[in-house]
Amino acid sequence: MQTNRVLSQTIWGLDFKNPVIAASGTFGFGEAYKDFYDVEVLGGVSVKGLTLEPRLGNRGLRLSEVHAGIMNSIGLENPGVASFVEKESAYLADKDTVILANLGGSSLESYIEAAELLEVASKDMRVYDVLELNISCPNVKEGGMAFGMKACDAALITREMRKIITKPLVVKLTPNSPFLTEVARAVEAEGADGLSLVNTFAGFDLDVRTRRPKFNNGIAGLSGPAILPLALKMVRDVCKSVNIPVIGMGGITTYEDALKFIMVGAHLIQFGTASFIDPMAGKKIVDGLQDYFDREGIQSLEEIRGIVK
Amino acid sequence: MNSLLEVLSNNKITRDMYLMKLACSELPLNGQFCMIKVPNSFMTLYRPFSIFDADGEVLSLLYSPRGEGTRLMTKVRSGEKLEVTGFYGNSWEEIKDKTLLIAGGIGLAPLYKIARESASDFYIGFQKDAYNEEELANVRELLRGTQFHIVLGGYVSDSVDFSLYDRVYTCGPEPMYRTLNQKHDRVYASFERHMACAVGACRACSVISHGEGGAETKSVCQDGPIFELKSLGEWE
Repeated sequence: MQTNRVLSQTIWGLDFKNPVIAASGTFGFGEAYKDFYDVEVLGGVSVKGLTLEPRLGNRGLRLSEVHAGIMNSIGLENPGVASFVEKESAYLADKDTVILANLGGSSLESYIEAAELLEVASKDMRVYDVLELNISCPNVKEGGMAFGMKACDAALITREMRKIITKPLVVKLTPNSPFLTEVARAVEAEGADGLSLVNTFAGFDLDVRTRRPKFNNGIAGLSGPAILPLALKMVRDVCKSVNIPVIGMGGITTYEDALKFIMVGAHLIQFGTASFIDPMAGKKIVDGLQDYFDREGIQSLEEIRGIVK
Repeated sequence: MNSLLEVLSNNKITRDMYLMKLACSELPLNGQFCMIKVPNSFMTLYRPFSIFDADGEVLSLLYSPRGEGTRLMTKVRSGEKLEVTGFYGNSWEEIKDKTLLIAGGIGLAPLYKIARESASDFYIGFQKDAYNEEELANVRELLRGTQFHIVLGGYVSDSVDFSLYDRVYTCGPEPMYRTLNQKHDRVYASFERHMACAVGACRACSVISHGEGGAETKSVCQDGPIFELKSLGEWE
């Protein structure tokens, strides 16, 4: 795949051909959009959120549309880490794009055991390049974003993961914590290599006809263009608070959206719901950035990163 | 396919059934579906639609306005264009033995084409007072070329002698599938779920099955939309 170097950068010793990454839970294991465009167009792919054991996901309605967004209550349906290592990781293993393994869990022990499996498995083959530690899923009853709400809990789990994971460790934060920057700093202090944010905003919806919540869990995660200004503020706040690279996301559907996150300080960006709005979104964001850099005569991402204070 | 397709017509058949024809050179397999979005509208997501008919020039959809998105679709006029992706999912197996096609209401949509091509018995149930005479005449006209039997009121499955058939193809409300599953041991049913992507990424459309292999998830968009009910065991 031909790449223009102006969008490339080396972060955590890894070569990202561009800053555009498919967000976890919206791109399968890298294969989902193969009929639309080549996954190697992207700087990276974060795979569907993994847990130690396979999960069936939530019962009842799992997804609904709202204005400029969607709400989901998938509940981390996934085949489990062992299956990922054996089967699902194969698709991306020989692709020229950075693989982020997104890891969730219910208890600290389940995170540890899953991380050990990933660590051992990746000793003699390429399973993943970056661990994206998910402490921000609002749709599971145990664990999920519980570890991401308070600085002390986030610090604890980051410390335990750091003991196991030798690859770059990125912690995915929840916008639902009132202590976001404290959580971010605590995670940085425990040795995380980077941060990614935001996961979905916890929301609620109901059916006035049946007078019941739409989702079995009551709350569900809001994503899509509706959350962009909220997410952008949070990414800006966190970028000002830490010195490690930040992956910004939240409602990005166009290259302009991506630029906004970079201009408040993000090194990389992720797009998620955008693929559901337009299956070509990832490629369009990359092409749009490329055109913008050419047009504006910008030589590197560094020139524009964090230029808006 | 990921195209803007021109609407050729969009006609009301009954109070809750519309037939939309689009100019489309691609041919789906019988039983596959496509995703449709009205451009420059409030619609964030595409909506999944089964295929009523297709001949490589015209793609026909029979749909019911149930929510905001499908209600907007009823307003679309000839000459406008819709965003369409697809085709997705598995297909009805070619009919070689004696097959019963049985639909509940709008569930007739993904069965019409194979009904016409195979000349199989095609039973369609509507609620007793669903339509007036004019609407029923429109439905009969729509179903021309098939061996159709319209059943008004009660359970359509009560009108059929299942012992005459080697297999059953169905689309309609899921409670009907559970009934059919007890009346025949080779039932193939087309499932419907809310979905965002149709490519297996969002995991919104999963059916949780409890077959011989224990509990597992199957996605309607990729593993389905058609499942042999026996393979699902109990499902939710």
